[in-house]
Parts: sequence; structure tokens; C-alpha cells
Amino acid sequence: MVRYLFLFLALASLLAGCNSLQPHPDTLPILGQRDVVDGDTVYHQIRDFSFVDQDSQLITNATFSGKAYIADFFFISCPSICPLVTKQMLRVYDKFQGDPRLDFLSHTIDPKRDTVGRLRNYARNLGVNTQQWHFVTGVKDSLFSIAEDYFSIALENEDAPGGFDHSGRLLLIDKNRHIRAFCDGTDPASVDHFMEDIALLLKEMETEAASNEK
Amino acid sequence: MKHTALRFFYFASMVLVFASCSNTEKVQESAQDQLRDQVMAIHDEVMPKIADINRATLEFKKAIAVDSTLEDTLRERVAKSILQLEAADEGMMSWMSTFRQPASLRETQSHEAIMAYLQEQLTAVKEVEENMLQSLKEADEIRSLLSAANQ
Repeated sequence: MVRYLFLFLALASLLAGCNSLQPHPDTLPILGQRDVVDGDTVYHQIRDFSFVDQDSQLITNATFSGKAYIADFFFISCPSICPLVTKQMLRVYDKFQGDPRLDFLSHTIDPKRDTVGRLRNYARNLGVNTQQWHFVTGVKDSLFSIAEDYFSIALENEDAPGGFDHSGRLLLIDKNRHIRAFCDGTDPASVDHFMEDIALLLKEMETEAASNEK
Repeated sequence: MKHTALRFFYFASMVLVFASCSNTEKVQESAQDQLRDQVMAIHDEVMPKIADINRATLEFKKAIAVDSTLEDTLRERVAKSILQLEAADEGMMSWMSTFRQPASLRETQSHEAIMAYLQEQLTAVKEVEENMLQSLKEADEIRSLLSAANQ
């Protein structure tokens, strides 16, 4: 009896320890608030936005039409977590570099100092393709407002960040403007899992495209 | 033989001087890093509150724009609070953009100058922290007043 109890406790603790290694579902859930309108579930969508990127291009929701993208918030002079997050973003970029189905969108939260010129230098120093990875600036209130919108998932998810602009979170947005996954951009293990989420979403897009062709 | 002994003595002295200098440098760098860590600990503690500051700023701007029935005194206090919140946010952003890590100063500045700089930064970041916390405290009070006014 004692032996079985010991075995049970050992298994229970093993399972508890594996919480972070939960298997992926077949498709990613849609995160954030949802309402039921006329019997249909309406999911939260990222609102309209309009910013300017490092090449002075206007970046709006339409820029990511038909694509998924990864969003984050940063600022160039950030002395603490941003360099860690950028390092992880670069890992994600390296893995999906050149994939036409996925873009990257980094918003500065210090538009006063992070001008288009500074963002251009920053992107150049990172050595990334700025047609795939946009570093945007804009009106400060609009940047914070969109950040609140991205992080509306905090309302529903206990694990989600409470504060938006210095949380170090990366978010995955699908082509329908839905938030599908997020991770702690300072934690390599969390980012590993996030990259699996991205692959899953890309597979979903591929399946959808194939079924539309039929 | 005499020459060899002299050469050995010279070499050993040089090694000792070099080792001693290197050790002093390490001790100094460690002191600088410790002070830098104190500065950054205050930054790390208060920086996440930037989100609260910006949320309150947006909330109050909206309240002023939307609610035309607000009493003038409360409206003024909200407007003042917005300025205080924005100044606190700018204070932190500005401090971060000018703060320099000791490692980047070592080639051009003496240990004493770096320690003095970091001590100044410790005072500066404490002031930034104080301004942020004060602006949030005021925002909390105003939030209660706005909530009472709307009831």
C-alpha cells in the first residue's frame, strides 16, 4: 500500500513538473475577450492602427493582410529587459526568416527618442530584412492604446501580463487580427514553445489555403 | 650570473606590479558594478509601473474629453495629474536614454569619476522613482473622485 502511495506521489509530482511541457493542441485557441452576438461568438480583434516604420513606410493592419505577425513593444535605450527580448526575437526571426506568411512588428514606446532615423539604424545594426520586420513609431497615445489592445488578453488569462509596455511579451497575431499565442520574451524556454505555436499557426494557414483551393 | 639574477629580479618585480594592478582594477570594477546594480535595482523595481502611468494618462484624457459634467476643480486636478503622469513617464524615459553603464566609461574615465557618476545616477533614479510613485498616488485619488462623481 505504502509502495503504491509512493508511486502515485512520484507520478503526481512528475506530472506537476511537466506542466510547462504540455503538449500542443492541434490548433491554437483564440485569446482575449469574446462576446456572443446573435448566437455567434465574436472574438477580440486587434483594432485599426497606423504607424510609421524605420523606412518611413506607413504600417497599418493592411500591411499584414493575409499574414500572421509577431508583435512586441520595446525602446532603444531600454537598459534591462529589451535587449533580452530582442535577442529572443532574433531567434524567432532566424527560424522564420524569409517566410512570406509571417512578419514581425516591433513598436517603440519611446517615440520621442526613437525617431525613424534611430529605428533605421537600430534595424540596420540588427541586420534584419526590414520588409519582414518593421520597427514602428507614432503618436505616443496611439502606441499605448494599441498596446492595451494587444494585451487585452490579460483580462482573460491569469498568466498574461498585467502591464503592457514593459512586459517583454511577444504576441502572435493571425491573419484575422486574432491573438493566438503569447510568451515571455525574456525566457528562452517560453520562446521555444512560442516558436512551436507559430509553426502550428502556419500549418493551419497552409491547411486553410489548401482547402480554399479545392 | 649577476646579470641573470638581476634579470630575474626585474622580471619578478614586473609580474608582481602587473598582478597588483590587475587586482586593484578588479576590485574597482567590482565596486562600480555593485553601485550600478543598486541603480538598476531601483529602475527594475519601478519601471513596470510605467504601464500604470500610461494607462492612467489615457484614462484621464478620455475622462476629460468625454465627461462634460465634471466640476471645474476636478477637471483642473485631472488635467494637472495628466501633466504630472506625463512628466514622470518622460523622467524615466529620459533617465534611461542618458544612463551609461560603467563598462562604457572605463576607457575614458578614472575609477573615482565613474563612482561619482554612478552616485549621481543613484540620486537621479531615486528622484525618478519618487516622481513616478507620487504621480500614481495622485492618480489613484483622482480615480476615486471620478468614480464618486459618476455615481
